[in-house]
Amino acid sequence: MFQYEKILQYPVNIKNPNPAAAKIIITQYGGPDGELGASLRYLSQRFAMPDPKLQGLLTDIGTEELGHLEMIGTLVYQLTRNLSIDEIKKSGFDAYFVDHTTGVYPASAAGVPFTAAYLQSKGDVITDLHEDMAAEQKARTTYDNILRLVDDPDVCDVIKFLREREIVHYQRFGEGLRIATDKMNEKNFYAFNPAFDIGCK
Amino acid sequence: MNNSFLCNFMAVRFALLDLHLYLDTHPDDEEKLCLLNSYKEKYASMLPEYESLCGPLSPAMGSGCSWLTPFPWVKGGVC
Repeated sequence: MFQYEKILQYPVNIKNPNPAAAKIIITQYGGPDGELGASLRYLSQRFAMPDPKLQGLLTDIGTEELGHLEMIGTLVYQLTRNLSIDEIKKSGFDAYFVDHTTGVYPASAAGVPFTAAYLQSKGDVITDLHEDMAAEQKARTTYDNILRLVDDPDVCDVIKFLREREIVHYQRFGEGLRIATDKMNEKNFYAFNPAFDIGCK
Repeated sequence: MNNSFLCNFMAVRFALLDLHLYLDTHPDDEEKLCLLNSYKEKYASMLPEYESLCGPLSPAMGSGCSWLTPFPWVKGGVC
């Protein structure tokens, strides 16, 4: 089961509202390489993992991603507090505002609603762990791009923390892939799928 | 963060989480296991003070009984 802890993984304390930044950062809430997709990807893929180490790894990283989703939601919430209609119009936040006011909605920066098509759960340990490593790098690039677009130090501090976690997760998934391949037929990792080909475990 | 206790509390929580993740793929690393255990003790010793300042972390299972203290997005995760 899951249980909520009422604390952020890393503090988010934004002093100045900035709807233009919120419009960009929302993409890590519900965009193609965002935290919602990351958590659903790992928490779904874990059922097909053949080893308790890998089941644990995907459970822990998927759970941490839910904490990152909460941090991104907090950023968007704090960046859009106490806005005037004039600020909303000038910042380009009006297109988001008309549909969601200042509510936090899972969508990309371009306004595309979240879709499960952003992730895959292929039921094959080699395939899924490669997707996971790629996903961490895509999220890292997105955070790099956010750092190129936003200059508020309060925001950048949080984004840098999240960017660093992508790199740590990439490392852990790489180790997970090594654990998986070490247990498999070393002459041909693709000879069987331990989640499906019963008797080949 | 101004309050050094809260800052330390979050740092210890983060150390626990990151060490635990490392141990997922390195379960035989005795040195890191010892480090994790020392952080666990430190965390347990800090938790009562945290909850007295900020309210229960998870009221259904913990010491408190309600969510009535502010949620972390309102004040930035530091009460």
